[in-house]
Amino acid sequence: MSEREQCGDYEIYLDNEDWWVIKNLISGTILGKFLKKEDALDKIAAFLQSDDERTESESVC
Amino acid sequence: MHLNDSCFRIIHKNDRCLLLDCSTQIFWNLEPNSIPKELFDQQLNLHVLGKKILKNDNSYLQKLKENIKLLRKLNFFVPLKRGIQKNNSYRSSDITQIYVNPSLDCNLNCWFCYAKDSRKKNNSKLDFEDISKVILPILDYKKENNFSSSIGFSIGFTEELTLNFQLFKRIKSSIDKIKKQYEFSIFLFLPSTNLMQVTEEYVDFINDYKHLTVSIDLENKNQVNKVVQNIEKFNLDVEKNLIIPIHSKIKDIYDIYFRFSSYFDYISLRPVRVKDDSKYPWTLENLRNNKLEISKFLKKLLSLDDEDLLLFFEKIGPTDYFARYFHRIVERQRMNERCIAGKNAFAINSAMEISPCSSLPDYDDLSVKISDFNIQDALEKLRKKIPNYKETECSTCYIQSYCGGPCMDWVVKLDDQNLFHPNKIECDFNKHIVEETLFLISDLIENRKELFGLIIKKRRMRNRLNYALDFNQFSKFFS
Repeated sequence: MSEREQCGDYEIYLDNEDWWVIKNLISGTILGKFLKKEDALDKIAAFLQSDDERTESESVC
Repeated sequence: MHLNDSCFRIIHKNDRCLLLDCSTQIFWNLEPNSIPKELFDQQLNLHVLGKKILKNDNSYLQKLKENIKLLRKLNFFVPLKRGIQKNNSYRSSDITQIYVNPSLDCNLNCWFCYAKDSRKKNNSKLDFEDISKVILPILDYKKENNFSSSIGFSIGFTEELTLNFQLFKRIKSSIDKIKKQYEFSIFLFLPSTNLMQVTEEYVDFINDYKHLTVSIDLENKNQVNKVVQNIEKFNLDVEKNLIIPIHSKIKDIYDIYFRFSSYFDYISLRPVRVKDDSKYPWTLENLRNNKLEISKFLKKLLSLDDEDLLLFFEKIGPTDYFARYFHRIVERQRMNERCIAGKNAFAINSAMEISPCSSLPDYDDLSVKISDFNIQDALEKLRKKIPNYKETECSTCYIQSYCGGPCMDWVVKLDDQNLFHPNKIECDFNKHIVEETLFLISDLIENRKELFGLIIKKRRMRNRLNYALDFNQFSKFFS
């Protein structure tokens, strides 16, 4: 993996202090910093699966 | 994690192949020639998928297997949540939408009219006092229970509003007066009109309201002419919406969208729920042809140049059936319930009966007589009758997140009136639209990414498909 990669709305990169950073590219916010790359990837997987804001209840008829 | 609960579908059409993770609504393109045919169009869980792939030794499948293993390690594949919400029939819940239908008066006799059966049974009418006596207890019920969501009233869904417009105006004025007594918002929605006759007063009202919805029967040439003639009477700044029924023998869907595009801002096509004895019944044979027409329509969209395709997406209305699935797929929106009818929405007809929606009052098992204007009592009785679809085949269906479960009206109209099972024809119709739309979106992302971005922007959508659609490339990110 290169030092800066994107998946979905999320970007992962290694910062100057050797933290793996997850950034939301839509809001521009840093969502977390991790010592291990695996933990950061795990978190991105969780974000992609997340139901947050995905629920819709408008009827289709 | 229970491996058996993950849910995948390998969807195969012509020379293309997709892997859909039903839980996350993430999908990937697969190489069709490398996937064993036995896996096509099958519902699979992670365990079965892994096992079937293991049996094969082509290099593409080996890579696929490795990547599935990798993503499994990250707990990427989550169990399919039983998305169809359990119905809290016995509990009091908020009311957010009420349809009050004071009469069944109409100056047309459209073959697909949802009030057709009711019209044969009764010709009773509600007057202003009756309507006030049903609206006020509903507002008080919300207030007493501290429900804060807004409530919308739709008046005259089963009639031609222009024939009863004075009553509508009186109700509007009455609601405007009492609005301030409640902390929640109260809206009044105008139903669609057939535009057969429009008075100056109605035109002025709509010009001020700035929103008009017209429902049209394309086979009624007289109505088509009237619509074209009367639509000119409204100001340019009125947002004009047209609703056109999709029936089982519809042809040339793309042309239908554009037939009225110079008169209307938005066009919405929606399937009509009609019985077997209708002019265009939803038989299995008709459905087969209808699916071919839908495929033809989506193929046509892909053949358009960028400008025309963008124009199409600008013109499709917010209630268009295809548009809603398109949005749901791009935004990965999870529909936990198909419809709020019978849960938060109810309809009251001119015979003073309450039912989940305006189309259902003629089915005794789903309607209750309101005695002495005691809405709460009728509501409690009705809520106990509403079926719960959580335990049906919907709970494991691969399109459940997109569709949200069955529509009670489809079930009543098409099936043997067994309310507890979704109707196969409706399911097949929805599955076909979802599958075709998945391929359309996949094609746009892969081949016309810039245009896809413009469509997203125009329709003010949030793109949740901005990952690599190739499964192995997607997995590479996590390797």
